[in-house]
Amino acid sequence: MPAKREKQLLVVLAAVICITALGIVISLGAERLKAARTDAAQFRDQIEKLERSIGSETQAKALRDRLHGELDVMKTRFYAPNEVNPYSFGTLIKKKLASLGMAVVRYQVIEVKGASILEFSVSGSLYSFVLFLKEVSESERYWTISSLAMTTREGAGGVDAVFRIGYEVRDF
Amino acid sequence: MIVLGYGEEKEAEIHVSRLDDGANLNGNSRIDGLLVSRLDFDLQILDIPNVPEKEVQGLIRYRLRSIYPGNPGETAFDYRVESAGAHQRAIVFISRKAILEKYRNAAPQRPLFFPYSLIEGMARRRKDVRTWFCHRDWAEHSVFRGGLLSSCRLVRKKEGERFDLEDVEDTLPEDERALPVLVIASPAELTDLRAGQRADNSSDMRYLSFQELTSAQRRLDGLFGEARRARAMFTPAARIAGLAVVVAALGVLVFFKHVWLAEASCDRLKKTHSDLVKQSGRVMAVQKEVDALRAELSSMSAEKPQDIYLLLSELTRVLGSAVQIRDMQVQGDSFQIEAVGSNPLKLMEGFRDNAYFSVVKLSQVVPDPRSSRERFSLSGVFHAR
Repeated sequence: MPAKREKQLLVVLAAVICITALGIVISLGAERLKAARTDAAQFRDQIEKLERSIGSETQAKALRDRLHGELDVMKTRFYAPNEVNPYSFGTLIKKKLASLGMAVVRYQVIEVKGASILEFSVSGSLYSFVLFLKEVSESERYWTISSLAMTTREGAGGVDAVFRIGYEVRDF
Repeated sequence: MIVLGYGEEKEAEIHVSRLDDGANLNGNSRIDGLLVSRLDFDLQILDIPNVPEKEVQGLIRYRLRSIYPGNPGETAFDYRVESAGAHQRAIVFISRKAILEKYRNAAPQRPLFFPYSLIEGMARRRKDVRTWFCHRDWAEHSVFRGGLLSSCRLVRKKEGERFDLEDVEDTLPEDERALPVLVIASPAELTDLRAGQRADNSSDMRYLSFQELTSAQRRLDGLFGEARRARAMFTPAARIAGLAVVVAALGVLVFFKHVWLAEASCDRLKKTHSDLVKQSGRVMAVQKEVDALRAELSSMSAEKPQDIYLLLSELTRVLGSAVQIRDMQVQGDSFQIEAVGSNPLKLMEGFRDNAYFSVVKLSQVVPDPRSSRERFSLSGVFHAR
């Protein structure tokens, strides 16, 4: 009889151990499952936010390349330091005016805020002067007319103008 | 095919021969089992109550004292329980221990059989049937009803006399004789039995040789063997416990498969997230580059000189060809013009919706008495960088 009792107790003990082990295993599994589900939900949320916030990488790169191109084009329109001086620039402008039939009445190199600019007083036809202004506007390099005073002559289509012209220098 | 030997006690030793043809077998011959002589073993049928299997053996041992005359201490038995619904019956195979030991020694490691072991499967399928298992020295008559053995009778053959099955049949109760009968014997005896069959015998009688019987056997359920004891070790409770363990293990596996799938899904999301974070870093770097480029472009655009030609073109477009600019002064972005034209107030409306111009003011208008035109001055700011 005691043997039977011992056997029963052993069976109960084994069952308790098995159930406990099973419970521990399931509890650990449930924790892992819960953690995995929580992490997955967080990742899904963050992925959704990231997908919303991230624009197209291709579009961003295309924009960057376009801006690079624009900048490169713009850079070529500035004079490099020492590439030109007021005198050679003045000669260039004088030649340009002469080629358009404009008479240079007077010109001088003046210093304004440490920069050398040229002041021209010219006269000629209005059409030629407008052509000159167009060439200045469309020149390959940036030429600056910082001030202009012009008076048209009634009837003859002539113009008298005084303007200050300079050039843009930039060190890249 | 199963090769069965037949054992019988002769001169205090067990003599083994082949069951199908009666050929003598020496100890080295391979047999799959040994059919015991019914003259050395007894068979009893006991109706037993529906008790747990572990209690059946004790119950039979107790009942054996009243049905078997041998000394219980020298008696060995094995049993098979047959049940149909609530009805339970034990087929008890009984022998003296000394005889059983001799049989075991005659065919070591081989299972022992009764005729019952060979015919019960066939009878279970046919439900109501009876069999004659005829050997040289004995014949066993078994009656099965509903597939269960209901009676078993042993007939000793008389030495030197022909066994007349018809005469024995006449002694059987009427209800048993009405059942179809299967006669199992050696081929030679079957020939004799067929020859002795009366012409007016109307019973449904079929014949089967030992060879045909052994050929039909697929599984041998030996008696008095270790296998039985080993099987008995697995009590129903143990089987249920084992099943519970298997089910629990499968449940845990299924649950963990679920866990593993969730973790794998989480890992995939983590990888996607990581890729997106990397992509976000790259896009942000490109965006920073773009911002820097925009700032540089903006800075360079600020250094872009004022376009006087564009200013003149826009003024001409807004004022129209009828207006003649007499005098013009430009200082940085500001401009001031003196012109002659008609209705300068209306012309001012053209500046209002023009993005190039702002703060355009008409300062003075002097009508020209010589013409219908007016001399006017206007000033403003030009934005064309």
